[in-house]
Amino acid sequence: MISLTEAYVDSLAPNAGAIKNGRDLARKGSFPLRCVTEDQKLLFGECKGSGKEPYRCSIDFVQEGNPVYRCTCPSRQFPCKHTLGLMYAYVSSSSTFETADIPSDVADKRDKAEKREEKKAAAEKEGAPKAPRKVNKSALVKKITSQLEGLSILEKLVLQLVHHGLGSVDKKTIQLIEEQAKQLGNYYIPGAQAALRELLLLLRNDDEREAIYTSAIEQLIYLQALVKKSKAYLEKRAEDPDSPMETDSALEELLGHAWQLAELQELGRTRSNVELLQLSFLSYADHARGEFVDTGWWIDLADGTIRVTRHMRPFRAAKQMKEEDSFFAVVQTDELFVYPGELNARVRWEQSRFRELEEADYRKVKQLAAASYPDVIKKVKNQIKNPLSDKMPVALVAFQAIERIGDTYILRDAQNKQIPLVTNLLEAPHQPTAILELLQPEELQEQTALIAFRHELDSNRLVAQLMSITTDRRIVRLLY
Amino acid sequence: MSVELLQDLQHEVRRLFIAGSALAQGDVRLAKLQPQLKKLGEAAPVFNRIAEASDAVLNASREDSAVKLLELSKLLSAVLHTQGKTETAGDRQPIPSLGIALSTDVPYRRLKPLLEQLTTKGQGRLEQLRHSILDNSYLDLRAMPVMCSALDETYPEIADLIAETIATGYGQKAVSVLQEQINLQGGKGDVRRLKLLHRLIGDSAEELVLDAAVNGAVDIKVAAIEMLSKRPQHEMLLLELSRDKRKEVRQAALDTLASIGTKEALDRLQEALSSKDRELAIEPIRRANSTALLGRIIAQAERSFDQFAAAEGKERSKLAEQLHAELLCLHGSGSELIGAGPSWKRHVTVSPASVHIAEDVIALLRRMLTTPGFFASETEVLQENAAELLLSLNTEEANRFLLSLDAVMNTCMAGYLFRAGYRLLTPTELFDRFSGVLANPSSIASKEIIRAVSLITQEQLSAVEEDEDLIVPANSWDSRWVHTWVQADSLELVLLFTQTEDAQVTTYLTSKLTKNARLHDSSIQRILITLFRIRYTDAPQLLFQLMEARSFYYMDAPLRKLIASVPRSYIPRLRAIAEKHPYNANELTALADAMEAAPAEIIEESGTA
Repeated sequence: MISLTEAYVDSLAPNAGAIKNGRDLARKGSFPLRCVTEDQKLLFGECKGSGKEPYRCSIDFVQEGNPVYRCTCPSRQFPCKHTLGLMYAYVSSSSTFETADIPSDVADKRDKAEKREEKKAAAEKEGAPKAPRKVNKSALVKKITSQLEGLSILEKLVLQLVHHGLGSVDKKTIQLIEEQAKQLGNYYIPGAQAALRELLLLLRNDDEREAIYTSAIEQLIYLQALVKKSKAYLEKRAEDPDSPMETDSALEELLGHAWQLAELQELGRTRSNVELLQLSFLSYADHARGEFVDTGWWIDLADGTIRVTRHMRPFRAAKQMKEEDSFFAVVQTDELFVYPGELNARVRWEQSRFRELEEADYRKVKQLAAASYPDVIKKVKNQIKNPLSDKMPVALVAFQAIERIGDTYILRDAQNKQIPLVTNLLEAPHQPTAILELLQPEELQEQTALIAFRHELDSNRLVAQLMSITTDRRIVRLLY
Repeated sequence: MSVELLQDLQHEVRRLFIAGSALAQGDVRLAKLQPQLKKLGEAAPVFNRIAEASDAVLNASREDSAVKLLELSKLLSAVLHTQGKTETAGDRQPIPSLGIALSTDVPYRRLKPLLEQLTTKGQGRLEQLRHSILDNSYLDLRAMPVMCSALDETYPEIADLIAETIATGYGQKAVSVLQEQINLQGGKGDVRRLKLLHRLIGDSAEELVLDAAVNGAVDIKVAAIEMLSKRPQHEMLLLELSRDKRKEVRQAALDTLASIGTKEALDRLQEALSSKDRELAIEPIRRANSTALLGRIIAQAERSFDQFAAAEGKERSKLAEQLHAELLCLHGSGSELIGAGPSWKRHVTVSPASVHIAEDVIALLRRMLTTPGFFASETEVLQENAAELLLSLNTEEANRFLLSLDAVMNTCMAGYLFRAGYRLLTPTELFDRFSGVLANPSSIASKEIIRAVSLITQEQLSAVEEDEDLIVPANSWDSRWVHTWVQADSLELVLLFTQTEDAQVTTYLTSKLTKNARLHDSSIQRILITLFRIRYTDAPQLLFQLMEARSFYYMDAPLRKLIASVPRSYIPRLRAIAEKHPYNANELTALADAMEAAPAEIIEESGTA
């Protein structure tokens, strides 16, 4: 039993091009052979390709939520357009699928996979519990020493910059920073390196020097805080390599550590049986790190926590990696991995199932929203005052109305407390405020909004940008 | 206020960051804030810490200054981050909401490319845009304002596609956004917006259309005026606009006045015809197609002619121009197929203007063309205009009158006479009547006749399929014409008129196949094709001489056809050529093989070997 929808097939595709190509194949009727097994767990067929022989492709749904794609084409994209096309053909009403027996080669592969699973399960049973991962202490100490060295270089550079003043930054200084940033690549602190590159990007902007000073100063403060905090932490760990990794803050990740799921599991940073609903999505280019970041903001339907998924696609490998997308169904996962973080901790999951969104879910989201702005604001301020914290925390808030005071749009809660709205924090597909005027009148009254906060230093305001509005019937996505 | 003090401090800190902390020691402006900070510190400990940090900056050595400044700013920034205001002063107002029923469910990977195509420039967007429209990615609330903005696109195919998509895909939903975006002083994009609004809401857009017609930029004015067609209630406005400063606006207003056809509108058209807008008025008058108006124009032309006949010098040429315009208005009026005979090949659309208009026009032209002294070089334009008008009337009377103008047979009028003759006379009569004029091929008259013949044959041959022979129908023309064309050295007509083999013709044609003739020259090819068509014995020989004389680099369809129609005996020569022409060796050999393989009788039939 497969219940495929077009949107679901879209979500399986690695990128927009694959969607287009797959749909084109289905539309042009490029599948002379289209079959489905009696239990409807396997689609298979043949697709005309450029070669002499047609490509034989199949999609195996024997493991729910984890389809297995097979195709004889040489494409490196996965799933390839042929398997996607076959699914689109299955979804569309215009093409019919013959019921047929499972082909022997697929049956063989299924058997092998099953055996592999059994073996794995057996091994787990025997060897359980899994041995904790061993840490090579001398290597760790060596690494930490190197990291500390790198941080010293960074600190020296920061102090030098402050000493001479931002006004004196010229091409030569920028070149120097550039060289230093490159050099930092040898010290296992890619996060700090990227933060320096961010400063570099700011300083390179020649046209609006005056405007970027405020951000540049903030970045210098951030760098100095990062150096100080991580030095203390790393020195402690160098002395006692057995001490645990920092998980109360995102410090490790800020330094550039890429958390592995196994590590998170060991540290007990998992939640079981979680249902997540995506409230907003955005993909942007992080030039300092040289990668695209596909970001999803999700609500945990059990307690209303706002979680973040981040998929990084380095510019160089962007084409080969799956481009994430807006997601419209509820994700159910047995095991959710939670990264160290603050209000919006990053999460990941390996296995998941989907269920369609119901009206009850909208109601749930609305119930989980924070009703009182002073409470939310307090939490937000508490986070952003820390120089190393995420300066753009995201929160789900209820609103009485979205209104206007002069040119400023505001959110208002039941106690008439306000949050001013701006549009320049996240890159929206349009002027978000223009979209507000297109909504139904009742959608601007007594609903729930997902907003990203930011402190505006120059005007001394705490402002927010609307990301989505949840009503009783739908989610209005103001980003993607 | 303490926050203000913190901001002042922040300002000084920012200044020191820019100037360099090396200059911070004992900074006067920073020091000035110290007492206030300390005072506040008595109440709130955080100010004490700030005051201490600030003190540290003031007293730091040059080496330490950077660290101290960073510490102060870090502390300050942390405090300021807790002080952000969220209240905005002023009266709250509700946001107007238009309640457009569109979802926001198009996922990022489909919406983003669409928005990118709509907001960027570059190649290949049209194709991608078509794709996005095909899979309905534009049916999203977030895409609609962007789609409507993209009407300003400079690439017209994209803009038209978007306009059509807005009209059919969004329909009424787009109205409010278009209304909001439209700028009557704008450019082509706003013309599209106006047209869309007019299309989507019809009469409800009238106010906007009127506003645009009066106050819009030129392009928008023109578009708005066009929308007022067939709306007599806006006659006054249109009359006013027909006197606008801009020519484009006047033109549009006159066009639209023609469509409403009220008395005032027609009067205005006639008035315009006598003004500097003469040229602009002609087309609207023709389109207005009003018998009454045309009657008045005929009368006006009569008067113009009288004045013209009496005038002299500059005045005379001015009146000639006026008369010319008036006659142009009459073209196509009153055309009716009266007593159409079998030789009248011209197809005429029947206009509702009546026969007597045609009679009046003929009477006017008869008077003009029979006035002594009218035929002079200065009136050539008028003469031709009158003759063309007579031909366009296409009544028997008009044609007969034109043909009767024998006196001007040897002038530029000859071609018109010939065309009238072609309609009235049998092929033999036509030849007898006109061939004499062609005795002197370099005269104006013979050139005009040759032009007229080309015109007639073009019409005759317009229906001929590509692979048929280009040759005039034998029963429409006297067979003697071909010799006339030989004498006139009009190769084109000789080719069209050659029906059978004829020594004079073949001599003429072969003389054109000199050594310099190029095989890919289309007239050379056509000569060869004609020679083959009339089964001239030496045709294959001539073809091969040309092929052997010069190398050629590619084969085209006519050449292939020619080669394929030579007799078998030429196959060895063909193979010899193939060896010498590496570019075409394969194809020539293939042709030779095919000819060898073909049944003998087919070859025999096409050749004379």
